[in-house]
Amino acid sequence: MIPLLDLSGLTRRYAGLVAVDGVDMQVMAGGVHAVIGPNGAGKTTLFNLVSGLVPPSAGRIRFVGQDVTGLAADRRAALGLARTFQNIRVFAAMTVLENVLTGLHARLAVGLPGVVLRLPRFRAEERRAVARARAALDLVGLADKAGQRAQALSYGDQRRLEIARAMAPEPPLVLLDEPAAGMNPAETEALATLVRRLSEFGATVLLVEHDMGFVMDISDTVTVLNFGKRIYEGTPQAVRQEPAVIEAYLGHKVAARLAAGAKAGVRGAG
Amino acid sequence: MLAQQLVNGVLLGATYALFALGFTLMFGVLRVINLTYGFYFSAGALLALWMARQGASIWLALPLASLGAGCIAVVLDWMLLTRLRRVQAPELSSLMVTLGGVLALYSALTSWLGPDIRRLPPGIVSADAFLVGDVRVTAAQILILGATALLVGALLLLMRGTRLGLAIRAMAEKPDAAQLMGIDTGQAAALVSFISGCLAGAGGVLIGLNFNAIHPYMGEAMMLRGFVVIIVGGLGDIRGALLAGLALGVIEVMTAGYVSSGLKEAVAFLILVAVLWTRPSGLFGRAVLRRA
Repeated sequence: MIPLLDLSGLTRRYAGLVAVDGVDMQVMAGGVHAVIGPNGAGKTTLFNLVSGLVPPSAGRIRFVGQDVTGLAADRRAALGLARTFQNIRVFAAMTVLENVLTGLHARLAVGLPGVVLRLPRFRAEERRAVARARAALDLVGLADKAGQRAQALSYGDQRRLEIARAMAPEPPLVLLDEPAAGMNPAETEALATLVRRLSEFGATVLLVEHDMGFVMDISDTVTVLNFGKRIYEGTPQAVRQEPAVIEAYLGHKVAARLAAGAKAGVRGAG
Repeated sequence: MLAQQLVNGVLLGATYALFALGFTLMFGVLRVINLTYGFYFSAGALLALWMARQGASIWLALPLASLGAGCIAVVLDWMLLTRLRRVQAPELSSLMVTLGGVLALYSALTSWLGPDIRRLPPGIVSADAFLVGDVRVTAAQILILGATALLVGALLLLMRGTRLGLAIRAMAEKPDAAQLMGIDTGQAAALVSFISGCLAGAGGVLIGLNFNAIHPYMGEAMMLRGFVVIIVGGLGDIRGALLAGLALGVIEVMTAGYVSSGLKEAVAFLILVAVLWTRPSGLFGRAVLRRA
């Protein structure tokens, strides 16, 4: 089976720093794939490389079997690679519905003359776009706020709006950049349910996240980065017990203590 | 007398607003104070003049000159600014590049055509005038008002009611996020240049009609007014540019009528200074393309 997203030797150097260092990673279709790592591990740079905001210094990116390494961000989005941002990037001055419609921009096929003359074909397409945008808002639970200005939404709702905007074109892959950042425990739990639903809707989810509880709850596969390198990949259970990961996160002492605790846990379960 | 001045002021203000709309759109979306903008105004007027001398009617010359100015704007923006945008050069570099570019263009145009003031062929617009009460309105003035209203209406419809407008507004607010929505920002930038150039070109033809005086540097004088209007209206603010343009026209005509025509520019720029003292981001506040 061809991976949905295939990174090979992906590298990004900044002056005096290798933010992402020869990362190989495959994201298979279906499910939730998380990328974790301590601060400065290169997670956000990895996302910016995949979505095309930053060009790689070396390595290749393949998406649905096609080499997209040289494609601009808008072309990748048009191929079905959607993303949200760590710091929210909704269009504050637009309504909630208009925000979601921008996500459908690349999927509208009628050219300028059709738009200007408001040909029937264009109007039918516009009706379909609005219907899809409303379905996406429904998915995230914002249907009743479609007419509000995005800036009037709460923080948690703005995140949901970003997810709806990314999901509207029904992309095969959606990248969520720290979706739980700044959320309270109740909001985080609701978000976990939502992310699971995205994958039920047919989108593969690739996410970067700090909140370990959140990641462990919803992910099928976890890739761990440290200092720009991939140090481990496996199921959440395996990651939890991997000494290299625990050490990267917590340093030697805590790692040793946790390892003792994990053994006790395994013994108890057995 | 007052009613007549008011009508003349609104007419003049409408063309100022039309001119400033393109300027503020360009700034709001492309984040560049593009000083070549005044050149599109001159180019529109000169193109219309040339076409009129070939026997074209104003109904043909106005739209064609406007479209021609739009094309010139796309080419100049591409030549002068694409590279700077790609390397994300500081704003001051774009300002200086467009300043250098526009001075070169004006002097080349002047050495080619000469600095003389030209007149449109007589009869290009009917010389009829209508009396409404005791206010005299010329056919040219009706044409100016109609064309301005049409163009402003079309712009608002485009920005508010179409997906292209949505893409332009998205790009004005957050260019990186817009690109990730699949919006081709290079194409949208070209479209914005084209629309702005068309508005400037149409403004040039209409001002040429209003004063019946066309010369290569006419865009230069207009740019000063353009600055007043877009700064007072709020940079990137479409509604602000409309209101500030109308206000500037009325104030100029009133000053010329009741005080002294030599003082009309002094008054306009005093207003600019006063507004910026009290409201540094313009009369209507926000410096973004929010009120499309």
